[in-house]
Formats: sequence, C-alpha cells, structure tokens
Amino acid sequence: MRRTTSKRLLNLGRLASLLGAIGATATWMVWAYAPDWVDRVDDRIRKHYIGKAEIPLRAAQALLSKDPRAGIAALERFRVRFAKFPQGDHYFRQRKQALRLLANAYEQRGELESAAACMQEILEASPRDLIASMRRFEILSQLPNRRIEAITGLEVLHARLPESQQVADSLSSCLAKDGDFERAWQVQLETHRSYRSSRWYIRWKRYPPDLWRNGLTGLITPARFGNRLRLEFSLEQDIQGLRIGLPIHSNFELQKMHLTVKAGKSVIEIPLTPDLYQLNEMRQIGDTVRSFGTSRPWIEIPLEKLHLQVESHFEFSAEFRELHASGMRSFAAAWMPQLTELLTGKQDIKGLKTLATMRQTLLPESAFDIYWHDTDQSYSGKRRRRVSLNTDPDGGHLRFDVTIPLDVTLSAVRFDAPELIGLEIEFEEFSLVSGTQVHELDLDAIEYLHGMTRAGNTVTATGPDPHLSIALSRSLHADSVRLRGVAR
Amino acid sequence: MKPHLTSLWQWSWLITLPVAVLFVYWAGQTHNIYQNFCLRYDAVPIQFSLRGIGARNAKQMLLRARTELFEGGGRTSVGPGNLRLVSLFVQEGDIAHLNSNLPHSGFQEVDGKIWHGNQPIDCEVRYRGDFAQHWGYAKKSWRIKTKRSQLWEGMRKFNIIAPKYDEQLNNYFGYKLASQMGLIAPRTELVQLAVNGKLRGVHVLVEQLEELTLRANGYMPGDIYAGEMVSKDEYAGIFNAVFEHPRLWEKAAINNHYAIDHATPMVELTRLLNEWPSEETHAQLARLLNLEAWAKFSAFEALAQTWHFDAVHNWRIYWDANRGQFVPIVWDPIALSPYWRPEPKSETQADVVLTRLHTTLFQNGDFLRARQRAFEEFFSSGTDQACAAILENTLPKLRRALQSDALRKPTDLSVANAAANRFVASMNRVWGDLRQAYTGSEGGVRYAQHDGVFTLEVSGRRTVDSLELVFSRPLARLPAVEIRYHLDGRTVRRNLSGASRLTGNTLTINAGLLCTAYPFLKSRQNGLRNHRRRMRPAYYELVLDGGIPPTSSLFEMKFDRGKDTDQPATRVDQLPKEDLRGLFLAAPDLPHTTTVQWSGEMIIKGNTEVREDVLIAAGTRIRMAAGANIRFWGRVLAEGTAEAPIEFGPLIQGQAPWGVVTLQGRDTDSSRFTHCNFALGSGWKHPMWEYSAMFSVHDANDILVRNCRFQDSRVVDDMVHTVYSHVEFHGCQFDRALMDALDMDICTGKVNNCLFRNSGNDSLDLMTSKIVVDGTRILDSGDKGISVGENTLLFCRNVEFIRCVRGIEGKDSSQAYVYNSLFDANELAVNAYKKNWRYNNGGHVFLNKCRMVNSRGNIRADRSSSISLRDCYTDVPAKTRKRVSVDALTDSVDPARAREHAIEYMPKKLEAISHLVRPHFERINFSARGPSNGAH
Repeated sequence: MRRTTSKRLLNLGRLASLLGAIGATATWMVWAYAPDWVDRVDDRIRKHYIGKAEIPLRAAQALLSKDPRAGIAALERFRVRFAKFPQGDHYFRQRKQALRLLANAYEQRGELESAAACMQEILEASPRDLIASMRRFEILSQLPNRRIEAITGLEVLHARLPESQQVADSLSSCLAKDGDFERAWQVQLETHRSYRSSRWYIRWKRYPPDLWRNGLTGLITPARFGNRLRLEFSLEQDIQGLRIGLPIHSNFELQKMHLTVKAGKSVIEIPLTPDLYQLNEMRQIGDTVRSFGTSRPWIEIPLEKLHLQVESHFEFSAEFRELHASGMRSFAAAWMPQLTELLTGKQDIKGLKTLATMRQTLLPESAFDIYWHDTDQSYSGKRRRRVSLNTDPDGGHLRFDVTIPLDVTLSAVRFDAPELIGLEIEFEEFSLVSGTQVHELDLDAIEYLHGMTRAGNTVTATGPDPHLSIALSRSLHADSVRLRGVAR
Repeated sequence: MKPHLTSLWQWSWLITLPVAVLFVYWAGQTHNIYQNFCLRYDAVPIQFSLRGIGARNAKQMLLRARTELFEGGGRTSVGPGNLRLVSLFVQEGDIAHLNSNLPHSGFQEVDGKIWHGNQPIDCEVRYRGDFAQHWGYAKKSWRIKTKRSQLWEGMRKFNIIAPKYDEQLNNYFGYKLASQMGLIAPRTELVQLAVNGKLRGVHVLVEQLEELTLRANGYMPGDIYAGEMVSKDEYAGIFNAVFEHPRLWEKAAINNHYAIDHATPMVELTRLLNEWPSEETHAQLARLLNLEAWAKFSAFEALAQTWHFDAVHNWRIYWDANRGQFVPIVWDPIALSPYWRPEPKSETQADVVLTRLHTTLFQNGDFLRARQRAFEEFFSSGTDQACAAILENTLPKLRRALQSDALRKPTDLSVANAAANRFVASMNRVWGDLRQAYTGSEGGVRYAQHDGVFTLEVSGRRTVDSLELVFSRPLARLPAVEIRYHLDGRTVRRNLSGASRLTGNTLTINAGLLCTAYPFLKSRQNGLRNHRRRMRPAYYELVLDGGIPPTSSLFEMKFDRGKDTDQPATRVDQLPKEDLRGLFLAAPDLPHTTTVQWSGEMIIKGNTEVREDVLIAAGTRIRMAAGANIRFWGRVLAEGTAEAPIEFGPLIQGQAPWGVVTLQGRDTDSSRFTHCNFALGSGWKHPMWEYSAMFSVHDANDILVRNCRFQDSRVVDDMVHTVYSHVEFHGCQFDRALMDALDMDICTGKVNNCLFRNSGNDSLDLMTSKIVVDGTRILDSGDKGISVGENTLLFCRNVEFIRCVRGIEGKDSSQAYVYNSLFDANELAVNAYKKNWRYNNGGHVFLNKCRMVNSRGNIRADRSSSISLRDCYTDVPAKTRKRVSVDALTDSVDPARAREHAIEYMPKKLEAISHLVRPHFERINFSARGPSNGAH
C-alpha cells in the first residue's frame, strides 16, 4: 500500500515535471516564433487592468449626470477602492479624475468642505499639482470663514508663480469679489510685468510623410527691427509644411506676414493671406492674427506645392504688437467701473490709459450670443449660437455684419452682448430670415433687458451678463438671424 | 519497447524537473516585473513589455548560470588593475521592503552599513533615480547617506548607480572630462558593488551634490539651484520648463545668509533669458554669468555630444554670491551616448543649442569668444590627451569587472566590449571634428576701403583675435579706433582704442570679431538634436580717427586667429552692408582706461559704483552717509601718507553706520591702499550680493594694504573681509572690531607687522586659505587670536597672542605651523578640534620655538586633532599625552633661549606655498624661543 502510494506520488511528480517542461518549451516556442501573439496578450491584459478602474469611473460619471446623489455615492466607493494607489501608478490618473468629479459635484451641492477635502486628497498624493492647489483655494474662498485662508494660499502661489496668468486670475478674482480692487489690479499688473518669452520655435513636416514631432527646433529668437520681426532659418529638403510657433502664453498681434523662400537659385516671395495658412490657438481678426495667452499658438503654412527638393532658406517676417494678457483684459472688462473709479481716485493717468487701450483690443475679440426658444421651452445653452464679431475696426468702432444660421422654430430670441461695461451697440438690422422672407425684429417689443439700457436702436451694457430678449407674436421657422450695426 | 518507455518515464525527471523548476522561477520573476512595471506602475518613458521582460529574464538566468559556472562564480577580482570593490550590507528583510512596492517603497531609507577602510560604518540606503532603469531591473541604483560623524571618504551622500547604457562609462567619463576641463563636477569612480557579500557588478559611484562639492572645487558655500521638472518632479498645471519658472527651482545647497526660498538671482537670470534681447540685456547677462565657466560648459556639451541639459531637467547652477555670478555644475551628462553621438555618415554637431539659455548664450559675443578660447585651450593644453589616458586606463579594468558581472546589461559580454570600443572610436571622431572646427583655418577676412572707413567681412567659426594694419608710412600717433556693426536696424559703435597698439607703421587691433550664424534645422529621430548653427559672414566697419598722415595708405591687412593662423586679409572693391541679425556684443568695447582722481573732501550718499580706475590723493576725506556704499570695479590707488592719511568715515558724527568700501572683480587687481583709515562702517546686504565687512575685497589679486587703520566696525560680522583674493596687509592696525577683525576666505595672503586690539570675536579668521602671519601682535581678542579653519594652511612667525580667550585654534583639516611666537595670559593658548562634520579631520598645530606663559590652560586637542610642541618653553610643564606631542627639548627652564640651534628644513606641507613662506621662514631664529626682537 505504502509502496503504491509513493509510486503514485512519484508518477505525479514526474507528470508535473513533464507538464512544467512542456509549458517551458511551449512558452519558449511562443516567445521565439509568435512574438506578435505575446504582444497581443500583453495588450489585452493591460486593457483589462486599466478597465478595472476605467469602467466603474465612467459608470459613476454617467450616474452623476442622471442622479447626482447616486453618482456621488458611486464616486465615493471608487475613492475608497483606489485610495492606496499613489502618484505614478496607472490607477492614479483615474483616482485623480474621480476626486475632481467629486469635488465639482460637492461644490454644486454647496458641500464646500467636502469639495475642498477632495482637492486636498489630490494634493497629498501629488503635492506638485498646482491646478488642484488653486482649485482648492477657489473652493475655500466661497466659505466665509476660510476666505482669508484661501486668499493667503493664492497669494503664496502667486508669489511662487507670478508668471502664471491662471493663478493671477484666480487670486485677483477672489480679491475683487472681496472688494480689494487695488490689490486685485496689482496682481494682474505683476503678472503682466513678469518676464515674457521672446523665443519662437519652428516645426516642419517632410516628405515622405513624416511626423511633425520629428521636425522641431529648440527656441529661436527673431531679429527685431522696430515693430517688425524677422525669423530666419534653413530647412532640409522635401519640406511639406511649416509651423511658426509663437512664444507660449504670448499675447501677440501679427500683421503683414510674409514668407520668403530661397530654394537653390529661385526666390519665392509669399505674402501670407488667410487662405495660405491655418491657425492653432490663434484668431484671425481682420487683417491681423492674434495669440491670446494659450500654450500652443502657431501658424501653419502648407508648402507641398512649392516642391522644395533642396535645402531651402526661409525668412518669415511680420509686424507685431504685444498686447496685454487676455486674463488681464478679461479682468478689466469684468470690473471696468470699479477699476475706473479706483484709478481715477488715484489719479493714475497711465493706468486709465492702459484700461482704455485694453478696451480697444477687447472689442474685436468679443462675441455675440443668440439664444432662442419656442413656446414650451426656455433659453438654454443647447439653443445657442455664438458668433465672433470678427470684423474690421473702424476708428475705434467695430462694424459687424453677420448672418447666423439657425434652421429652428422659435417664439423668442435673446441677444447677449459681450461683458464690456459701457459697450454701445447700435443695430442697423436685427432680423430673422425665413426662406425668402425677412422678419425685422422690433426693439420696442423687447420683453426684458438685463445689464443693459436702450435708447432707440442703441443698447448699452451697464452690468454683468448684458442681454435682451424679444418675444415674437407667433412661432416661426427661421433659417437664420441677421445682425448688422456698429459696436463702440 | 515497453521496458524502454518505462525506463524513460522513470528517469525523465532528470531533464523535466530542472526545466520545470527554471520555468517556474522564470515565470515568477516575469510575473513580478510585469505586474509592477507594466500594469501597476506607469514606467514611461521606459517601455516594458511582456515579451521584453520574459526575454530579458531568460537571458539574465542564463548569464547568471554561466558566470557562476564558468566565469568566476560571481566573485570579483580586487587589487591593482581592477575596479575597486564597495561593500554594502543591508538586512535581507530591508531589501525585501525596498522591493515590496517599487518604485515607491524603494525611496524609503533603510539602515545599512558600508565598508570603509577596515570597518563598516552605519549608513542609510535607498534606491534612487527618476526612471525605471535605476530600479526596474535586477541591478539597482543606490543612494547612501552616512552619519555626520562618519563620512565615507569625505562624502556624506553619494550614489552607486547602475550604468544606463551598454558602454557602462558614459557618466563616469562625462564627469572625468568635466573635471579635467575645470568645471564643477561631482567626484566619480567606476566601482564593483557587493551587497551582503554578493557581487552586484559594475556601478558608477557619484557624489551627491552638496556644499562639500563646492568646497572641494574651491568655491564658497552657497546656493546650488537644481532645475528638475520631470517625472516625480513635474508640476501639473504649468508648462514645465526650468528657465520659465525661477521660483520652482529646488536647492541642493543653501546660503544660510538668505531665506531658503530666496531666488532673486534666478529671477534675474530668467528675466534676461526671456526678454527681447538687446545689447543691454546681453551685457547684463555677461555680468551675471561666469562666462569662462559657461563657455567651458558649452564646449563640454559639444565634446561629450550631450543633449541631456534640456528644458526640463539636469540643471545644477551655483550662485556665487561673492562674485555675483552663476556657475554651471555638470550633473548626469551621459557623455557620448549611443543615441546622441554622430552616426557614421552624419556630421558631428559643433554646437549644442537646446534651451532658451543656450539660444541666448549663442547670441552673445562675449560668450562665443570665451567658448572659442575654451576649445583652443582644451586641445592645446593636452586636456584631450589626459582624458583619453583616463579612458585607456579604465577600459581594461572595466572589461575584467564585466566578466564576473552576472547582472550586466547587456548580458552578452561581446556586445558590451563592442559598445566600449565604439565609445572610444566616437570620442576620437567627435574630438577630431571639433578640433578641425575650432582650430582649423576655415574662413577669413575680406576688406574694402571707402572714404576712410574700412569695411570688413569676417567669415569662419573661429574668432578673429586681432587685425594688423600695415601702412605705407609710419603713423604719427595711435588713432582712435572704432568698430561699428549694424544690429537689428541700429548701428552699434565699439571703441577699441584701448585694445590697439602702434608699432611704427603697423597698427594692431585686438578685436575679437565674430561671424554670425543662423539656425539650420534638420529632422532627427531624437528631436533634441535638430538645431544646428550655420555660419554666415559678418559685416563690420572699422574707423580710424587721427594719426594717419594723408600721405600714408594701407599697405596690407593681416588677421590673427591663434598662433597657427596668421593670414593676410583679402582686399576687395566693395562689401555688401549686412545686418548682424541677433549677434549681440559682436565686438568688445575696450576704450583707453580712464583714471579719475579723488581729492579733498568727498561726500558719498547711497550706492556709488565706480567703473573707472581711481587715484585717491593723500589727505582725501571720504565722508560716507548712513548706509552709503562704494563699490570699485577698477584699480584703486589710495596713496595716503602718515601726515595726510586718507579717511573713510561717517558724514556726521553719531549717525547710523555707513556701509562698505569694496573692491569687486579682477579689474581691481593690483590696487593699493596706503595710510588709509576706515572707521564706523558696517556691511551691505542686497538680494544679489553681500559684503560682510566695511572693507571688503572680493575676487581680486595682488592687493596691497599698507599702514592702514581699521576701527570700530558696526552691525556685521567682520571689519575687513577678503574672499577669492590675494591680499597682503603690512603695518596695519585693527582696533575694536565689533566681531571678527580680519576674515579671509579662500585666499592667499600675508599679515605682516600688524596689530590687532580688542576684537569682539576673532582677530584673524581664516577659512580654506593659505596665509603667512609675521611680526604681528594680537591683543585682547574676545575669542580666538587666530582661527585656523576648514582646510587652511597657516605659517606664523614672531606673533604675540596676549590676553586672548584662545590664542590659536586649528580646526577641520587645517594645519598651523607656528614659530618664535609668544602666548601670554590667554585663557587657552592653543586649541585643536573638529568642528565641521564635513571634514574628516580636526586641526593640527605645530609649535616650534614658542613661549607659552601665564595661560590658564595651555593646550587642548580633541580626538581628531593634534598639537605638537618642539623646543618650546611652557611655564607650566607640558607632558606628552594622547594627541599632544611634546618633544624632549620642550621645557620650563629657559623662556628665551632654545635648546637646539640648528636650522631646520621647511615642513613639506608648506612647500605648496613656499613662494609666500620662504622669505619669512628664512628669518626664523632657531636659537630663540618666542619673538626674538619684538613683534611690532
């Protein structure tokens, strides 16, 4: 009996060894002869692993929009389940996202301490997360008893990062809401006067199809002749496209852009008109293009048609003007009366002049919003069209002439002006187009005005969120709305 | 058949069992690494894959088996001709803890021991490194931190790093190259590491940067800024670039005179790098950076073909507050990495342009001229050969060590050897190409003459050091020489009169002219290397005003670009006028030196910066308002007389103290102060600099201070302070210093026939200096008569220490040799001890032919220090004891006459400063004890 048992055990051992050896051989063969299969398995395992966090997070996110209470509960469960994953781990990304969602949800419900605690949790795991830090202070600033703590915290952040427009905006907004316009304005000025990059960069794409990322320079400083800058460089052959990268966070206005290409003995002069380039994080305003403080402003110029088969010398030139940071302009626009009062009181002529200049540059950047609704509806972001003024400045005035496609049935129209206190808009035409018919809207039939006053065909913005609403006598189907007039 | 099968089945385990065991082991290892670095941890930028991990594990197992069985069994060779073995001991449980949740667990320090000399010393160990190549494989990178009381070969923190690349020696060689070039670099060595007796193979030992690194490289302790914004050091919510966020730099060492978050110099640097460039911003930048060091650093980048000092990491910059300049430190250079060195068919990149710092520097003429000199010096001084010799010496040792390295990467030894050969070949090729680029004769000078203006066109990478204009007739006098260039639409004029000389009919102008460059952009897999510089001829106008007779005409123009390239310039009819487009400071401004004269009574208020040379007449009274400062940047000749001394004193009696009179920089060399009196001054602390004494000398040589009197300093630490200088004080008097009377840091100098009285603290405070004190009396010091600290070498003769709290105190690896001196009525005559943990050693004081009387305690030495008495007189008999050696000639019999009269040889240590010591050593009276003929 004992002998039989040991014999069986020995056989089992032999069998296990044999299976192990077979497994080893099979693994070796797979590794050696079917590496793609190993890679596919690898891919699937990874997807499965990530999915263990992605799927419940997505589900909680969906639940949040339908049933906030249940969504928060799901996110809290997620928070507990993934709490042990520190920064660097794959799941940390989802954990951070969950905490952000949770903070937003708590904030919307007015549970500000809980919202701040979520941000604090991110910061504990990732102390260098400046967004979480700023967000936490923004949330705390809504709590009267922790407002000072929030402003102090933002001041510390601003002291470390005076160059950050985001921090400056957050701090100055808090200060302004507290009534401290002087410090708020000072914060904006400090950031504006902080060093600004003058370094540009170039990206290029080659043929055969190449990635933009392979063709990237370090930074280049253009030569500057008065208000004209000149960027000069040579590129290897077969260049298909060129990106002129502006300094990050720059607020530049460029016009009269010109590209000269010397390829071999031929010289090609290209005055750059809007149809010859594309913009990224930049805006075309009349003859000028503008960057507005974002991190990736560039101008892309396709060059396939030039067939540059030799090394070529490029010279990009443009007239440029440095504008005040867009954050600073927005701040000035939002708090224009208070700032004007402050600077007038201080007899700060320079400051007042700055304000006036900013207002000038703000106008062309502004946009109108048109909302509409039918009888059983209300105004909503879902029923809105936005249109940039995008017209030529005319002696400090802006002429606008736009047709906004609608193709909807409506019974009321709302017109939202840019938040520029003191902005006057004179309508020469405000009509709905339905097929061949044009229905002029009667400004005398204005249902209500908010943050605005009206005199005849002219409305003036006087406060935040300026808008007017006009009710139609009956519902009609409108193909478009036409707006023509002058803003000043 | 069946018996055969049965037999096969019975004995099959002999093959299947080992295979199965190995398979299980392999599977376990693979699973662990896969789980850790593919699934749980995001190891980007290192790409781990199941296939890669499995294959690597299999190879590693095979390699281990092979080394165990055939290549020495993981045992290392030690002794000459082999890499040194560093032995580390960490409990297995602690290692398991480090590995438990990598990388997070790996950064938690655990206790360990490291072998030092003949004994293990306590330390704390952890893994280190941002990326998985440091802790993701079997061979790990370690950070060791010892206790302050037990340094490991003079280091407290250091790293033992797993080599990143097949060559194994990229960083090791990079650091060696940097050191050879005179750059600040951490100490490094290729070593073999053993952990708990098991060999872990070849590693690179690298000192962790801290204050000790600065001291070892001859710099004052100060701020080391560390620019790291990658991996765990990355910030969320901003564009991570170190030269955009000056306040986000960490500090690897701290100047404790300022707050820990003090970053004004870095803010200023960032401002200059980001602003629209101009001649003015570039001049400011040239002052803010130690351009000689930055030029070497840039040359180093090209010689090492490294693009590792990029926009987001690896920057270590020292702020030298005493010179007001930034100095680069080489950190993690990865020299000649396989990813960066030139491919066989592509060209070597002569310029490494990567960050906005690079972009700006390559527009700065002063930097480019210094860079050219750095390359020329590298190739002409034999530094290239010295580096090649280091490599030649290291490679055999490395190869031997790799043979027994079971964790080596690559696992195939021949691959590692071939990589090392390619490394050497690429070094030779790169250096050959750079030698050609920077010392070759490409380019030249063309010129034309119109309306008395010489237009010049300079081409080629090398600087035109000088122009030689040969005229048909001798010139009446040296003309005013001006060079003009056109920059971004404006005309810039530079006066070169001070750099010109006339010899008969030949006018030589030391111009330092450069050609310009523009970017040539070329796609590379590694985008960092896309940016190259293409040279383009530069246009200048040379204007000579006066001295040229109408009958004289230019006969010939030559140019010099170094000794081997003296060539004639080519004359042409006309040259096209060209803008330099972004080359700033294209020619230096070197006018004739002007000297201003100060005399009578002068009132100084606020801060006065004096750029010219200054002659101060005897009897001048300089009356300083409260807080007023004078900073001299040029040579000063203050020649007072005994009857009409020059006075530096307060404007109004009883006012708050004035600030400082200071000499700053090498243009003040050879300044002289004779019969000058300084009283009631203090210091000057500014966010960018600090002067800690009312008379301060920073970074100046050959300064002579004679018969001057310093008294009644206020507020700050020192009355007189010298740093990075050679200063001699003769016949000076230091009275009633608030704290230290004379502080000398990293200096050489003499204090001769001086008198110190009633110093609030030390009379003479020395740090890392080499000083001679002769014929000097030190009376009533509130603390030490002479404090000899931090690796100072002191020679004293005929010095009287009277009524001091301590006569002389030697500390921290310092040596004091004291002859014919008197210690009278001090509370403690001689003290020697270890004060600063950064030094392995205490102080060592050698007293010879000295007299010690009326002291409460004569001598004291701690366990790291020593005091030696030879043929001295002590009124209380001194006996030999531990750390105090008293020779048989020392007695308490005759205070004046020595027992042995033979002349002695100069101690070997003093040979290093024999040029300073020799005249004083020859005056030692070997027949007498104590001062023989009066000290003062």
